[in-house]
Amino acid sequence: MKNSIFRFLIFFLILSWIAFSLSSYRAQDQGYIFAETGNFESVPKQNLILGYMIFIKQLFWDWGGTTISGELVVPFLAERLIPTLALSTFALLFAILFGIFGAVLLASYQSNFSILIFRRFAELILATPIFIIGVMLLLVFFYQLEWLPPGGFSSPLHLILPGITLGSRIAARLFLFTSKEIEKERNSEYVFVLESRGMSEKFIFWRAILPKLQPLLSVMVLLELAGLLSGAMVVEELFFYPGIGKALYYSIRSMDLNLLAVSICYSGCVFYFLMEMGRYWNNRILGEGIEAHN
Amino acid sequence: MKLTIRLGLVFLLFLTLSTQNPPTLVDLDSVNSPIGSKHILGTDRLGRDHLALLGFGILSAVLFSIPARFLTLSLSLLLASVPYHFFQKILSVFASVFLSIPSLLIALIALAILGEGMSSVFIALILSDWAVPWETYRTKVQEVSMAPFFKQSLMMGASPYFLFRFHIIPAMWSLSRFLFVTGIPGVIMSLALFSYLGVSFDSMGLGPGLGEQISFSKDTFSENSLSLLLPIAGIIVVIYSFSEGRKD
Repeated sequence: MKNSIFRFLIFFLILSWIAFSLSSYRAQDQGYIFAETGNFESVPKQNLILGYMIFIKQLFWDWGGTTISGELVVPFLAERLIPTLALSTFALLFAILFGIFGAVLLASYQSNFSILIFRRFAELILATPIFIIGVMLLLVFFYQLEWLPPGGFSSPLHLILPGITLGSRIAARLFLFTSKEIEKERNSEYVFVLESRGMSEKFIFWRAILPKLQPLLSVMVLLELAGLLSGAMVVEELFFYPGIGKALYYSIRSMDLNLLAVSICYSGCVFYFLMEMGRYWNNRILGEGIEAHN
Repeated sequence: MKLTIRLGLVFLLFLTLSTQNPPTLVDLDSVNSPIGSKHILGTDRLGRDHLALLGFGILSAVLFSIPARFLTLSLSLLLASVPYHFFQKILSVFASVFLSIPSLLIALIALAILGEGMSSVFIALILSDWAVPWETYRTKVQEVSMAPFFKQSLMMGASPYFLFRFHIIPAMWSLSRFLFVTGIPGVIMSLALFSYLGVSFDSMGLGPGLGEQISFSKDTFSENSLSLLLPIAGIIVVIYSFSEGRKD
């Protein structure tokens, strides 16, 4: 426990330093923003160590300071956390439904041809950048069919297009992984042993193969969640979705030092905690596996 | 199937170069031209030749992604081969920080700091992508340095250069090939995204990137659908042709 806390503190120290130095480099030359007003003065350069101390003080005692529009940074990000959580949950549910349940359903019917077709489709999705999937969904469901809204966050309908866009690649990854693992397990020795004992294929599939895959799939889903919660910049920007990802993108565009630095710290910490949880879970599963084996 | 796609891409590039239509040539007399003999795939709303835009867009994506991936892997390998334990410890903390921040965010910040241009794009790609190969190389270097042949060489007084040249590099060859091939699609995706977001990196006169073409024509899909569909197909096909998967 002590070791984990120490590791996190070192991680946070370097993360916050990188976040601060990157954003301060970014924010130093703001002269052209005020060019129209005739004020060409750039932001005065400050001592990096002093600036870092001020940043840390602001982060813990002053809600991360203020954005360039005068709002407190932490409440500004907290407000965007709910849309991001909603979007991440939708994307993850979509991915689990089509990635894991889809692969399990096809495998349970032993439909090799369908599995092959869906694998090719999953590979095609993985070969498509996420913004292209978003643009294509917009073209079909908004421009052509006019079924779904193009962006914003005011009703559950607004979650569908960005959620599918965000979840599509995860679904493809989960589908490929699950279907290949099921195939591998089906050809393993213990399945032959169970078959030779007269157990039915259905029994082996539902009671032996799937419970074996479930822990590993849970860890994979957790790791995917880490990526989603740390902000989906492209998708949120494409669909005008008011989440953390859009705030991150906005902070880079507008050179908002405080917002950018706190956002990087937030993303890094969320990712770190979920990765650690995944690692802990994985170790526990492996430990239990070894104990059971012994 | 992938071989057919690759041959198709080579044929497309050959066709593009043989028609000699530059991708940057704006011809307002032939705006939104349909498919024809002068413009094989028609033109966009500025009269630019679709085939040239597609061919040169693919060419620039491939020409940028190969050296970018090569540079990233070279740097990661060099860093992983530094024999000082403390240095590697420090790097591992930095790597975990870089892995925890979305790579696109790192790349965009790097681009914002360095400004637009080819070298900035290379640096942004390296910064956003060095941590994973470094972790992989480090594990392999550790494995090699524990091997009996390596220890024997060390005991017989082999110099660090000798160890690097004759033990580490050969052991890394197949791993590097794997990392190179599997990493190219990611680089092409990043480049497409950069150009979609308006980051320009064309310094060789190869015209707008495929992402930039999508961004430019997505609002006029109903007038000229090919302007949007061709760069989309171009990106998917070029990434698919590089991606790993079932061997044909």
